[in-house]
Amino acid sequence: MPAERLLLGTLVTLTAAANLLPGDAMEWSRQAIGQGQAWRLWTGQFCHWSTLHLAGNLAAVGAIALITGRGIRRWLCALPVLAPLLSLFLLASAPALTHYRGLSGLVGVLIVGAMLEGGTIGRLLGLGYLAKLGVDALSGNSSPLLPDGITTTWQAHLGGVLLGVITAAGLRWNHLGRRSG
Amino acid sequence: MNGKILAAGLFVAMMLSGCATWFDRGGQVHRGSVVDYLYPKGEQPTLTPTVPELRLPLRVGIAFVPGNNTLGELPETEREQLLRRVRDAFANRPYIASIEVIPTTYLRPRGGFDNLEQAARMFNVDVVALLSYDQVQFSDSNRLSIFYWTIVGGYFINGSQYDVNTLVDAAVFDMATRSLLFRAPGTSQIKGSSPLVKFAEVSREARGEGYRQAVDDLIPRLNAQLEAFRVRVKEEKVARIVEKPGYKRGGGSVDLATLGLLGALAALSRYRKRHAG
Repeated sequence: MPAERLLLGTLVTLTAAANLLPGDAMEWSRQAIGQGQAWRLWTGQFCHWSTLHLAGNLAAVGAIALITGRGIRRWLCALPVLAPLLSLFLLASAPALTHYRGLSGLVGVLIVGAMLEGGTIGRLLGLGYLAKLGVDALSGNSSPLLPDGITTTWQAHLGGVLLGVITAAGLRWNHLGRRSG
Repeated sequence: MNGKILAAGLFVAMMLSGCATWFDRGGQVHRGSVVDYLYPKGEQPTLTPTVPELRLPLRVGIAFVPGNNTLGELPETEREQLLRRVRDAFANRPYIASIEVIPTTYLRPRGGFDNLEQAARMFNVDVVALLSYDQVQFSDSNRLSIFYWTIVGGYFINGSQYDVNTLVDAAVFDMATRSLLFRAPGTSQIKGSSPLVKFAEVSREARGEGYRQAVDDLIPRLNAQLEAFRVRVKEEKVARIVEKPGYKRGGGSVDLATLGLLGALAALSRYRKRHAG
C-alpha cells in the first residue's frame, strides 16, 4: 500500500510538473534526450501542447477510470514506471519524430487495464480502441485537439497497448507466483 | 602698449572661450534606424496580402542596423557581445535550428532589403532580427563645476554630469516575404557624474552600459512578443507553419471519436452499475 501511494503521488507530481513547467524543457525531444536530458523520458509523456490537449487526455483517463472501477489504481501506479519505456519505444519506432508531447500513449496502457478489469464494457472499449488504432496507422489521421502543425503519433498508442500487454503479463505472473507461494 | 592691450584682450577672450569649452559638454546622439536602413530612399513598404510561410525549425539571423558611423558609436566587438546575449536567450527553442550573429560589417548603411537579403543568403537564415538603436547622451555641468576654476578641481570634483537614454528595438523580418513578424523594444536610462578630466571615459562606459541594460530589458519583452506571435499564428493564422524534412512534432492525443466512445461506454457502465445495485 505505501508503494502504491508513492507511485500515485509520483504520477500526480509528474503530471503537475510536466504541465506547469515550460513545455520546451519538458517535452520528449530526440536531440535533447541524446544530449543526456534523461528527465524528458518521463516528462515527455505527461506534458501537453495545449490546455485543450491536456483536457482531452485527462477526460479519457477519467472515463477509463469510470469503466474500470477500483481496479484502475494498480494500472495508474504502473504509469510512472512505464513512461520512460514508452519514450524509448518512440525513439526506436518513430525515427522521423523529433518532438513529442502527450499522455495518450499511456492511455493505451490503461485501455488494456480496462479490457482486463472492466468486464464486457471494458472489452468493448478495447476492441473499439484497437480498431481506431489500425485506422489511424493506415490513414495518418490527426486529432483536432492538437494544435496546427502537430500530428498524432499513433506509434505512441501502439507502444502503450504493447506495454499494457506486458504489464498484464507481469501482473498475472505476480498473481500466480503469490498463489503458488 | 597697444600690443600689450591686444595681447591681454586675446588672453581674456581665449580664457572665456576655454571655459565655454570646458563647461558646455553638449550632447551626443547615436542612431541606427531600421526604416533608414530598409527604406533608404523613403519608399513606402509594399502592402502585399501574403501570409509568411515559416519553415520549422527556423534559421534565424540577428544583426545591428548599420548606424551613422560617428565617433563614439558602439564598437563592433561590443555589438557582437550584445547580440550573443540575445542569441543565448533564444537558442534552446525546439523550433529554432540556429541563431547566427551577423556582424554589422556585412551590412551596408542604407542598404535596403536587397542588402539584408544578401546577408541572409550568406548566413543561410530564413528570418532576421534587426536591432535598431537610438541613444542620446545629455551632458551638463553642475554647481560643483565652480571648483574647476581651481584646475585641481577638474581632477577630483564631480562637476560634470551625464544622462544617457537608450532605446534598442528588435524587429523580426521574414526574408522570403519581407514582412515584419513582430517587434519588441528595450530601454534604459543611466545618470551619473564625474570629474572633468575623466568625463569622456566615464560617459563612454555609461553609453556602453546603457546598451547592455537596454538589451537586458529587451530580452524578456522579445520573449513575450514571440509567445504572443505563436498564439497569433495559431488563432489568427498570421503565418503558415511548415515543417522541414527531418523535423516532425507529434502529439499523443485521443481524438473526438475515441472520446465519444469512452464517454458512451463510461455512461453505460454507470447505468449498469446503478441498476445492478
